[in-house]
Amino acid sequence: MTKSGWLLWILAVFLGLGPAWAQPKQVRVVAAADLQYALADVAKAFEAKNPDIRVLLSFGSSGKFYTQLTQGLEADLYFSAEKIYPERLEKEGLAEPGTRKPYATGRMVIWLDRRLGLNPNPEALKDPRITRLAIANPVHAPYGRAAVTLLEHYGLLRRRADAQVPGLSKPFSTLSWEEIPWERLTRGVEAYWDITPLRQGKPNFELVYGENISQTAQLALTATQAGILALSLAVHESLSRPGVYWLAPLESHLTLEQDYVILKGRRRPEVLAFYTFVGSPEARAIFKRYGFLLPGE
Amino acid sequence: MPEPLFWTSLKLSLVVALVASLILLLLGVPLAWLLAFRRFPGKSILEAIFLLPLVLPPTVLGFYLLLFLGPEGLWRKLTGLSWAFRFEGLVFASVLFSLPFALTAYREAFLALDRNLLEVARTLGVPPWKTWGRVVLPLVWPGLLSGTLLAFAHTLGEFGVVLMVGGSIPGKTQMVSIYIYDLVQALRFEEASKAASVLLFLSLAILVAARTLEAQGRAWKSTT
Repeated sequence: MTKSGWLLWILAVFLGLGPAWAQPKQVRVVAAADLQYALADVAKAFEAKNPDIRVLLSFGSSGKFYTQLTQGLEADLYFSAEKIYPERLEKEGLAEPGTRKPYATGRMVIWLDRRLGLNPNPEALKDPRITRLAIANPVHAPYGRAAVTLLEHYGLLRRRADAQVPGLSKPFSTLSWEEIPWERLTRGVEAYWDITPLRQGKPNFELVYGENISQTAQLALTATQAGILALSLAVHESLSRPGVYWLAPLESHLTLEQDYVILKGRRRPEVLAFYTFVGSPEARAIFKRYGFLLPGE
Repeated sequence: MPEPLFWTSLKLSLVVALVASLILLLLGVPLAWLLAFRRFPGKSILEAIFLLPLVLPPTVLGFYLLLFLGPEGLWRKLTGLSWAFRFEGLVFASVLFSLPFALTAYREAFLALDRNLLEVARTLGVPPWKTWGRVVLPLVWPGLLSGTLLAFAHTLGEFGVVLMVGGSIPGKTQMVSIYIYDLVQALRFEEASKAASVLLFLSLAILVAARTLEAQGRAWKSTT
């Protein structure tokens, strides 16, 4: 610990407010928000078997955590909703070599408020009562990217022929989903895709962006009545009771192959124990229960 | 009762707020004195800079702090320390964004001082440190304490800056405002409302204390 760190530490202990990180054997996990419920259950199952280890979970968008990790965020494990981020960490020397591994593939759903009385499917989004649709921000949330590609697949978004992203050799309209430079689409989806099919016959229509897929679920539940969400959240009672959902076929959107990785210098026994547990049959059963597709299946 | 993680995050917020407000007291009192009684070139620019966190979007302040405290930041180059996403970074940020609250209250307390008392003390040949102990402090302490309490309460409630600088690592950098935000994102509205109500009452209590102190300061002055 740094010198000033010690001072603050002593002050904190002196005041009887000893911070929680004094406890031994903690595993700090930063994870994609679609794991909100599933990984919490996995951690609970792990802690039941390893009572001397505490797993501390933080959820957010994969892109935000990637940026924070490059800015000095300290964590032991990183679970991303898209494998590009762990790959990049590996390339930048911020991950323990050889520890990047897939743990699941995410599934997308179209979720609608039950009170609308609609049959959930892509066509239902054209209903005039749906004037707002919640999706995660595709700039840094993989589920947002999957949502945009899903809408495009069903003809609800069309690429603008005149859409320009500076520095691209190919025209934007001809790019494959994997080639789209999502991080540079900061002008908003509407600048690159035409939303006319969603807007037709409605007094108004807008896409509402969540910071990550959990917040998107919260927006759908409390404000928009419709959202493109992760199946792993939609199956949870807080969303399945007030809503109905439609599971999108895998080929209808950008693949959400999810990798996890141990961060540089963090290969401690307790970290490895949780890392290994995530691949165990018990953990796999939990992921499966939340609708994830498992590696090797 | 809210769950254990709430108390962990509240404890972290309280420690950060306490350390930050103590630093502010040490730093802010001489600074406020300077601003209250001295004239010097560039004073209004200096004042504007100190008041900047009051109007700057927290994300803007947080963004600059993140760049400053991060692994590539100037702070690292100067001191060798990388404080982003750490307790120290949270304290550093808190001192900055609560500075205007403390500073304004301290300055008000000093400006309300009867200057004649200071003059009399000086003409009687009382050394400055004695004047401070016997005249100034007894008169301004309610103002100083109320300013420190305000800074404390403000730090306790800040969201945007601490989200940028601290992120949300439970037990380490997850302050209570962020804990509540995370609960709402997890759709755990019931737990969120429990946590929020604790914070509401705590903030209210601090504000009542600060106002009472201010009133006491005024009452004191009118009797002397």
